[in-house]
Amino acid sequence: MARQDDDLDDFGRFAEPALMILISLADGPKHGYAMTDDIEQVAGVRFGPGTLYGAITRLEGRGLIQRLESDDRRNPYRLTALGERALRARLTSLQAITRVGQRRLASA
Amino acid sequence: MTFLLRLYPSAWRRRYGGEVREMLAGRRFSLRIAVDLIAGAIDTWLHPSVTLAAAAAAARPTPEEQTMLSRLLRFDCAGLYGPGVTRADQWKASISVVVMTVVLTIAWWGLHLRLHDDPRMDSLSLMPFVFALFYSMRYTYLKGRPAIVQAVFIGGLTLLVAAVVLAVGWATTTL
Repeated sequence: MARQDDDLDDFGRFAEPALMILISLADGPKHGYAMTDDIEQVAGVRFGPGTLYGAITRLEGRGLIQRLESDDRRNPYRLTALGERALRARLTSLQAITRVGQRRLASA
Repeated sequence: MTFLLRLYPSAWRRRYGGEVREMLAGRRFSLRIAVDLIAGAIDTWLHPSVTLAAAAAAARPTPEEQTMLSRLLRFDCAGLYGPGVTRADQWKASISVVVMTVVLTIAWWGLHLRLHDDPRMDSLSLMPFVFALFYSMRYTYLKGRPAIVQAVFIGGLTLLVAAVVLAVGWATTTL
């Protein structure tokens, strides 16, 4: 099946970090360090720079995030419209999975 | 720890090196971060098309600015290996796999006959295809890399697989 631009499935081990980055950028542009702090607050995981930038490289290549120019070396990134669509699709899918899981647990 | 950034390809360092250096500035050495950076470097070398795609994405208009037609055209050109690898490169890779496999298999067969069924030669029967496959990467994953990087990558991988195959062959015939 053809790959969709807003699909995170073929990100491999970077799929989860990529999702967390999209969630982090949903409330405004952030640079790498701010993303790491935000993700740690939201999800309790702190990605190393290798993992974070592996995911950022993939997201930027797919057009889901965009680097904004900055005067210092800490360039912020923002969510693109395609990235917002990818995030909405992934969260909807996760919600459906969560509902099924909770329903099965309740009836177990 | 910024010295570990030297493990990354130069194209990646030009784009992200400054940001990561800024993140690492003033931090003490951490084994966890060192392993994470090394794993990231290996991944970046193994998937050069990802860095090429990011650089290409930065150079073109944002998705919001693109019409549907221009996005479809760009998507078609991007192909399996990223925007740096053309359809002609993919043809070259495919043809090189077929031609080299045939030529090297003939050479292997000649040696096989000359060495009178040496079990080590039997172990290496698949190496013509393996080498041809690795060699074809110079048109795809390794495209644009310096010749020395291509030689080390292709030669290193081939030697590694050959060593494993010979070891397995030796183990199955002597143990």
